[in-house]
Amino acid sequence: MTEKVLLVDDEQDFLSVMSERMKARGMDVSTATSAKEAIQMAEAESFDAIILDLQMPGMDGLEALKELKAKKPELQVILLTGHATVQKSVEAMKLGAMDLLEKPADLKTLTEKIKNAQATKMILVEKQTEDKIKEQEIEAGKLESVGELASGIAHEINNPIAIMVEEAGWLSDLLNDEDLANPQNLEEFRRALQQIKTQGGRCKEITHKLLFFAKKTDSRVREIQVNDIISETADTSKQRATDGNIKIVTQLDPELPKVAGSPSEMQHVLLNLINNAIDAIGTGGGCITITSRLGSGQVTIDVADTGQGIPKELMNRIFDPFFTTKPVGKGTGLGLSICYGIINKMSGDITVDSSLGKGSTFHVHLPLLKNQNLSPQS
Amino acid sequence: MPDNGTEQDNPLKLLLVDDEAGYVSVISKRMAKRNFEVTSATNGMEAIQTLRSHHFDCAVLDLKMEDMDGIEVLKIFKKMDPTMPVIMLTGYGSEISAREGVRFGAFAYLAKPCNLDDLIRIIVDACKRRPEFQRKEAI
Repeated sequence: MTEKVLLVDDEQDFLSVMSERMKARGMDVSTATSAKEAIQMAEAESFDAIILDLQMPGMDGLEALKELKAKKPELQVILLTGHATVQKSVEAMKLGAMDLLEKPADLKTLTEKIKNAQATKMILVEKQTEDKIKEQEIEAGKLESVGELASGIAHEINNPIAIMVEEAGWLSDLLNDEDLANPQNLEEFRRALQQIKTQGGRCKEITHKLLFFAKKTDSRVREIQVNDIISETADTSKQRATDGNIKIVTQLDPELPKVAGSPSEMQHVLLNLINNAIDAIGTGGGCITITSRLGSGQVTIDVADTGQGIPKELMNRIFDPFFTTKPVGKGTGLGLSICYGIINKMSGDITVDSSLGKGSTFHVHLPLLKNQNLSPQS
Repeated sequence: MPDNGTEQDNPLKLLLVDDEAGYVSVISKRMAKRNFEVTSATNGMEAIQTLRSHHFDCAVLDLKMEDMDGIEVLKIFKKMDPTMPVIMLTGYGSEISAREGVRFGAFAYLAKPCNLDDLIRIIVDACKRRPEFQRKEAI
């Protein structure tokens, strides 16, 4: 594959000689005589490598490198220098330069570096695309979970609304007969207004929960307490579970250490596992037990249901994208594959035990924070 | 204020079944003002017990309750008093279960929150179709 290279130097003679020699080696070479011009070109086109002179009038090589990396992190920049001081070299590497070569650069070495740059950039670009797809998958899956929540929430929210509407109606019933100069029902007015306030608060709490799930996934990693997320998610799923006559029980280790991850992604994993557990139990009623524990140097979350269980022949397919046993329109088959992706990203692992007719248990294993000081008894 | 169209000393007897105590209490008050005699129950078992010992002109039944499915309660009601009209109330997003209720003999269904005047109109309409009511009217 032809390497696309941008050569940047303020010395025109050097540029023309180098570019001729590189072209002779089969490379596609463009040139720029200033850092500014180079940045413009790098923005407009995609280069496998940029060879940048360290000393240039105006913006120097280091500044140019900084700007290039900020705009396109995948860019591979090789710096050329007449006399590199140790300090400058270190600074260049810190800013993300791929390498630093002394002038006059040996063309064979430079060619090798350019080939490496091309390979590295391809991997980086591929990873960027993958990350983007993963992000989209998570968003799509979340939408599905929200849909499942929605019918439960409609039920939950219509009750307080009905009470508010009727209390308001009751107030106007009373007002119709009331002598306002000499009111007889003040206590009842106060009670009804308080009730409207209380029920409005109930609605607010429900919409708050829904919005929590609807907001864009924040995939930033921070220290999270898994127990808090379990309690929150179990609480959110309660209505849907109650509708199916299902009990959600949590058994949380109060000493559980924190792990590194994105809270909203972790919540997404739990919501998915709980939703699946509810679906697995179906109409007969049952129990979902969520346990958190510390063991063999990792945090483990178990989500156990008393549902139908997973047939052996399907066990190795359940984490595959788009694999679903739910009827058409009921599931996209992305839930578990997204969970798998999220847990994998956290350097964790997700496994399942299942017994047909008895139920399934999903185990999520998460690594401990690296610098965590664990007391010996834990 | 529209009422049930019956004589003041002859209020319509209504059984209201809903697990939302707040809803039951405010509806009872508003209906009482409109010349209904409302007896309430906040779960399926209580409703069945109540119907065992009392006669009602009509029942209003919530579809979703903690202890029993509204449809189950409806089926039992229909066995205990086949001519008592039952109106289903639902706070549930889907109307499918409500339609299922009508299939099992419910007179009508209304989505919560519903307009009280609509509810009363349907109750009165349902009661008027009862053979007993028609006999009463004729006398």
